[in-house]
Amino acid sequence: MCSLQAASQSKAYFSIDALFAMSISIFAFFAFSGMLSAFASYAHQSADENARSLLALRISDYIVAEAGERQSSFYFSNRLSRESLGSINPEKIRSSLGIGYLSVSLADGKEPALIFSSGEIHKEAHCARRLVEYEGSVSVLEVCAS
Amino acid sequence: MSFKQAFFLSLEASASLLLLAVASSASYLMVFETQKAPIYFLCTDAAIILAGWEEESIQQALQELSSKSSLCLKLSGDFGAFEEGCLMNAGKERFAVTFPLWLEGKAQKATLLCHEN
Repeated sequence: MCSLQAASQSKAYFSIDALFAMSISIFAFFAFSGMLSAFASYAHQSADENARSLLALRISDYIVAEAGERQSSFYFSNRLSRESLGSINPEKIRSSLGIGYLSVSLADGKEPALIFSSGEIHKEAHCARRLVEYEGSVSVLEVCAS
Repeated sequence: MSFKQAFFLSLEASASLLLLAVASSASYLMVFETQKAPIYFLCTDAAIILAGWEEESIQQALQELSSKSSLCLKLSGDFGAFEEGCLMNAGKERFAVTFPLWLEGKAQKATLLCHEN
């Protein structure tokens, strides 16, 4: 009887221990998988945002180069005027890149003034800021794409 | 201390080391997150504008460029050194651009250093 009790006690002790170890391992598994999934999601989101910001930067590069001042054989990048910005066709850029929204604005003082926009914002727009010389003074050109 | 106890402790230690390795790798993920492209473009834009600057005062040009871009700009060369918009705790990200600057009737080698504030 005594030996039977000892055996059952020993069995119960081991099963509680195993249960405890199992619960810890299950908790650790879910904690690690949750953490890795959060990292992956964060990396994906970050890469997506970076790609969209780089797209806005590339479009701004195209606009700054395309609308740059031309004097006979000289070409001045980053020197823009109202006329040169007016020659940019946002619809053409949107259709060739397959983007839903494009806007260009100039911030001479505090408030940015919209030069042109095309399409509608899908979810959110990512913007790129560039320094340009507009009508003789330094301004910030903001290009947003979505 | 028995052999079993010693083994248990070493397992504990290796598990904590593993956790430490995972935690420290997470900090590297945060480092990769920073985007360097915008400051690079702003810095080269500032250099392009300075290279074509037709007015006399370079300090004034730097002041205007720094206030519009919110960057700390440091211009140096044989003509001297100028600094504008630099806070005490300027960010780690920095870019340097070397370009020809037209000053006092001749082209001079200038280096523009851009810091993110």
